[in-house]
Amino acid sequence: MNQQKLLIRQQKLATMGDMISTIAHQWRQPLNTMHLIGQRLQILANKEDIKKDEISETSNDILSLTEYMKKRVENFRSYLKPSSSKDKFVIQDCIGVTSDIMETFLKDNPIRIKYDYDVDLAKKLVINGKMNELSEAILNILINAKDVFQERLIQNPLLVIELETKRNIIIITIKDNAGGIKDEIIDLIFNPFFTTKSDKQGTGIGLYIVKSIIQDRFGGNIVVYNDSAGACFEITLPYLDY
Amino acid sequence: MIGNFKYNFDKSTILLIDDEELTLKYLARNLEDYFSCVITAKDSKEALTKFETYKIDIILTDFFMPDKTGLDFVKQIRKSGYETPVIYMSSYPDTNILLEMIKQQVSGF
Repeated sequence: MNQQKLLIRQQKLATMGDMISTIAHQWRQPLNTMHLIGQRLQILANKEDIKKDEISETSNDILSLTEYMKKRVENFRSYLKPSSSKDKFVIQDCIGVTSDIMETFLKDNPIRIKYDYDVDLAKKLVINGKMNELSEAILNILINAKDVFQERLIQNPLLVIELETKRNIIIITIKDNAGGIKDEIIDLIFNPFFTTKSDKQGTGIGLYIVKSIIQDRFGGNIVVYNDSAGACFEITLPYLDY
Repeated sequence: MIGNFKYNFDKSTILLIDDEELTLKYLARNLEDYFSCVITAKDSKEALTKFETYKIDIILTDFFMPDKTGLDFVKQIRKSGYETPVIYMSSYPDTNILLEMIKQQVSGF
């Protein structure tokens, strides 16, 4: 168990490094725009007639940019801070936060995510456990898919997230159109230290941790299979009614 | 940069290309005092249509756009024989991109 904790921590640190560079990347654009807005305000200050409407519009634009930047950081923060996490959460909140983090990884990238399920249903399903742990598991699967899309140069890369309930369990399926996992390795991908990536890129602990989180922390299960388009990760989780 | 222009663009038309709405808006506003006409486009398709419609004297383009890159756009107009000066801008400077842009006779970075 201790070794597993250590692995989870190691994986989290690696993700954290990626996140910091993602935030830095994400912030450049709004910072540039704010710089332009600052220049605009200087121009306005030198004009004889004060354009109140424009000043008010400009300040609203600044607020929308700072709001955007704040949201990016808040998402990462809530993801990285386990103690702030409650012991129960609504599944839709978890998918929302995870997707938001993923979208920032996907900026300037052709990969699209489709949410193919009833959001109203997902807002009513409560899970026992810590939200950021499930978020970490789902994020890991999504980032893996992103790496495969890039490695295989897939045209029109698409990730589909589906959600349904059966008796007392939620089934979340994450599908990609990257061509699937080879038959000879499909049974190995959840093993610790199994990786198809080079040393630099992968440690091989990502999917092992995903499986550990889902089984040990949520009493659920995860399986993988191929459909005609690509790989499908099917997560099953017990839920409580809202 | 504002207020330090060496040249007089009073009678010139500039085409600004950027897919970020706010960046485009404030670039246009900041430059409108310096040019007789500021034209904006949010992607290379719109840029090409506007480039062919108006008489453009100078182009200021972003590198990353949703449909094509700024480089593809410049290549396309150079192929049609236009020698319009192009200034290229990016929040993410990359030497390889810069070198390729120089090949396409880019005037500024």
